[in-house]
Amino acid sequence: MGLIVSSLTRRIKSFNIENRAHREISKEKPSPAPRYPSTAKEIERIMKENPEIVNQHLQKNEELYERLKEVYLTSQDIKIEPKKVAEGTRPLPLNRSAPEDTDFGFPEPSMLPKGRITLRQALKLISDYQSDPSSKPISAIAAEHNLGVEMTENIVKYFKTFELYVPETKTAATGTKITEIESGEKVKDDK
Amino acid sequence: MLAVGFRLCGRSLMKTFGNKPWNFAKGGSYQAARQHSLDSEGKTSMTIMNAEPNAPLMVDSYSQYGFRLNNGLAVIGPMIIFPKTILSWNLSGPEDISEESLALFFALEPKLDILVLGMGVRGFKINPKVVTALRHHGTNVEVLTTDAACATFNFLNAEKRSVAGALFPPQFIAVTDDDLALSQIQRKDILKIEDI
Repeated sequence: MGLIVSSLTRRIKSFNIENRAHREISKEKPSPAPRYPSTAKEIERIMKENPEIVNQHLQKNEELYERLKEVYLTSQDIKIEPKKVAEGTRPLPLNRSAPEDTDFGFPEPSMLPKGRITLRQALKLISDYQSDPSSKPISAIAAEHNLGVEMTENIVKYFKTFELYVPETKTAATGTKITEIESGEKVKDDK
Repeated sequence: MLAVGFRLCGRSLMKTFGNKPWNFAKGGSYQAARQHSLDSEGKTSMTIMNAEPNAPLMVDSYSQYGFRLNNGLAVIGPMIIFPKTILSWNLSGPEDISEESLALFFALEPKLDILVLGMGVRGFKINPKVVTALRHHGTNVEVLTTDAACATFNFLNAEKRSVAGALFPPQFIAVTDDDLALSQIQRKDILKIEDI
């Protein structure tokens, strides 16, 4: 119901809206908005009781105008003493340099809980094992790093280092066909 | 279909302000910032995170065979990426993810803030057993498709968080003309006509 009513009233409100708007904005002097009824009533009352106040209000007061001309503003710098910070019991930090760049992008711990390794140790473990799996039994590696044997087995089984291949010239491209990679052959250059 | 070109990462994050389309030779994740300028309207500046000096390792682009990193190296196969290190992940696909194949992340000290898993397939459901194991070890994990995972990893790495990405190359990429053109620009053979 409300929807129908509002759609009707909207139509009435917007009837010929463009023409009315153009007429309004092409006026030389805009007509002021109507006063709020209580305000209008109050002004009417003042006009009736003492109209001279309103007239005086509309006229330029020369005396006040002259006084305003004599007003000047000057400014002076005030020396501000720096506030002394109350000295605490602990010294303030002196080193304000940015933290140094680390090898792995995060600081390495100095203490290690049992069963944990740092990324540096992990990389060494993986690359050592990969270069020669038979050099050290997995149980020895696990004991060396305080790791479980199963955990060490999984780490060396599932994580490998990449083989780096740098083409000699830019035109040498990869030297390995995509089909060879797909068939699982070792990715390397045959020179 | 073969992957013809490397798809740039985080291209959905690329935003243009003003009316000039941006032209990039290199991919990566972009952070665009509007600078209010009084001189002229629409003046903008842009930082490419991957190309910043001393930026950590980030993924520039991906293809069905691997990834291209911001240090210029191309990586073939699934990879584990740390802020400044990469490792190969000896798995054949996302179905091989298990508690055992995530062992390294559980053994690392300091603990990772977050592990970003990039599945090569859209909508791949990770094994509930693995989720339980991750929860047991207190590892925060974000399972995403590879494209989203690359961008997420880049952003987290730019914020210098202790983050690791375990990414599979996507199994399928819908290659667009735009991708082909970009990869040709990268290979500098834009005028070469391929035999049909």
